[in-house]
Amino acid sequence: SASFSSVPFDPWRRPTHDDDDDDDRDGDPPPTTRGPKTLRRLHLRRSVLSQSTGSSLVEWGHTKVLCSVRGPRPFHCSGLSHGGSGGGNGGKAALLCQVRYLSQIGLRPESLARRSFVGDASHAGAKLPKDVLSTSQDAAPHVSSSNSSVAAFPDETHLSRLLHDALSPAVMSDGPGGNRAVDVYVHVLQSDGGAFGAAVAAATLALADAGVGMRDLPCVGCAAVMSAGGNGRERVLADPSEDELLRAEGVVTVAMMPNWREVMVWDQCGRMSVEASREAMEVARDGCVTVAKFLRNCLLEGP
Amino acid sequence: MTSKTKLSSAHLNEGQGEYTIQNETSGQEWILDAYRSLEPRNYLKEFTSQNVRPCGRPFHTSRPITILTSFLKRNSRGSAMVTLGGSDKIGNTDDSTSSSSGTTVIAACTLLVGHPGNATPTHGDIDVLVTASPLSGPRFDIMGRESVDSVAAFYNYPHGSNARAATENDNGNGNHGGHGQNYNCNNNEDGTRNYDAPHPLDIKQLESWIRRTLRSSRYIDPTELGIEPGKSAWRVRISIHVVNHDGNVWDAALLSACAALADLKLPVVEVNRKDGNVRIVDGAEGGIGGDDNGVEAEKKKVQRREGRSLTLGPVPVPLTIAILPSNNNSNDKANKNGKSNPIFLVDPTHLEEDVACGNFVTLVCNTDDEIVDFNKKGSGSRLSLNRISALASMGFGRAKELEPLIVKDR
Repeated sequence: SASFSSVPFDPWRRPTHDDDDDDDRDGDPPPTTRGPKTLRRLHLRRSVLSQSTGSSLVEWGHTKVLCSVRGPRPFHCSGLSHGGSGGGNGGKAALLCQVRYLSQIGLRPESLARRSFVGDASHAGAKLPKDVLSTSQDAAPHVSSSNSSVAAFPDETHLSRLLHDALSPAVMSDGPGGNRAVDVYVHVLQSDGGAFGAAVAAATLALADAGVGMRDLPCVGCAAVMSAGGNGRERVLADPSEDELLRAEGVVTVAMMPNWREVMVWDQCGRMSVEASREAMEVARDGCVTVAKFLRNCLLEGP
Repeated sequence: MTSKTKLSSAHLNEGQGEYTIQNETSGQEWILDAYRSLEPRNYLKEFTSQNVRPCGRPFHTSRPITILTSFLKRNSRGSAMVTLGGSDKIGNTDDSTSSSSGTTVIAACTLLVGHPGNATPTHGDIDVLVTASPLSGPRFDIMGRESVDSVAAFYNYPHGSNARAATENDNGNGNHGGHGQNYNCNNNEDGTRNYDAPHPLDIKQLESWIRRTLRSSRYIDPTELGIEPGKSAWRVRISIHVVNHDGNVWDAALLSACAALADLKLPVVEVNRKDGNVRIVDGAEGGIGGDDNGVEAEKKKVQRREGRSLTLGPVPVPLTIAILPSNNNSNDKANKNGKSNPIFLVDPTHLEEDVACGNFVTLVCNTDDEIVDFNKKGSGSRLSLNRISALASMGFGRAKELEPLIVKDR
């Protein structure tokens, strides 16, 4: 849409949209900005749901993610995890991860269209024609019984799979007394870029809140590579927001266990040069370490 | 439940080592938890016989309500989160040592443009979608349905579950033919048997109830949702998600829908008169100079409609009351003449809802002293007319109390 290319992009003054809450202010205090390596404001809360064993709420900038953990419970009565995303252990999952966008509102249709994992990314235009939004969801009442819009489902499965990959090395599911099964349910209330990062942070907090033993605190850092522009060098931005993600050439997402210094997930999409990819990886890793500090603080001192 | 982190490994090496969070619940709490889970009816009776509820409230008091609006601004145009009881989650309460134990429901509105019906060319529409997930509670499955069959075995509701087992054939309780139960018999004082079992939350029922109530109350004027008569109109889709189910989701869901509608701001739109296309004008583009825009607009045959909030009619305020079956107060001598003397609990928690076994009264009133909706559910209780008018006056009181919460700052 027109607004993206008309406003020049300055990596040293990335808007944080913190003043989005007051629409009728005439922008009297100037909108706050952040530099290329600054992460967004992080807000972590533990134990927010009374009916879940462990729960957490993470606000990462404007991305809001809620996570609930059930378990740990003995392996053989894990009723909900029949052949879940366990993969190689014979169809029985020790860790079931599920990421869901809150139906209709978790994800903007335009980001779904542009960065969706469905189909070819080169069709950058909106793949959802306008009448899809207004007619298909309403004309088929049985579709609304599912928890998410159909178009977001591949994204959700991809994120669930990534979450499982990020958490399973860290969660100790074979404790004394047999294997334990743990269910992790993540709901993205609002996605503003970095939903995966927020999901992993929320899952980590909720797992710790539930008392599941973990080897380390998985964290995620994300970096976007913006196109070269005039001076021929690509810019790497840490922790991109949704608008920045839509303009980026490529995105690198890294999940690692900071103390063990091991990477669990390295997800890269888009095109970038090798140097930019390396720089993005380092930026993402620094982001991980920073987030890990916040997570530890929240667990040790928080409510 | 307090939890502390404890370093359980001997060697510390720059953060390496084992941290475990230990839940230090004493033995007494375990016994209480077990009693509450296995015999909820008797557990609740211990409290109601002293005229109080497990959370300490009197019978006719509801939990404090927190409404937080406009917190999902990115993808929706009006949003609200309603919490019954408990502490405010997203707000910055720095002293919350206990987990928030309240029913929490999130509602958000998204807008679509559609074709108005032929009979009502100027009317828009409101649609409601309710979802739940395993997040909401331990009995919810992935699709958001609450199942009670798995826990009915633990409750002392043998006739209800066994009677259903005779027809459904899938209960592991064993089928003893339905009569002559030895340890499981649940006889009332007057000889009748209790056939009830806790009713799960039915989100489809909730959805249609909210839709019906919103449409039949005069809360929203549907002509405000029209854009171009006969050609295009707004369809407001309210997505409601049950975040935490601790009883009384019905109230919380309707309140959140009302608050989200109060928070809704219809955006500025440009209507292209030639082909009827409606385009939402972004806030940034809205402020281009006035005269130029008027001339341009005429050339393009485009017309702007102002963005605005909806004018609201009287707020439909719900009130849910759980009716405990009358055999609970067996100490009451008034049972002699055969009339039931049930206990009414306003704004029930999860435990109280289970014990009530689906006997509720939900009434929706507004401040104009009108009853918008009256719904008595459940087969285990019967109400007299006096009771009904008493409940109605409670409903009106609640409407007066809650309306300023929803329409604040307007």
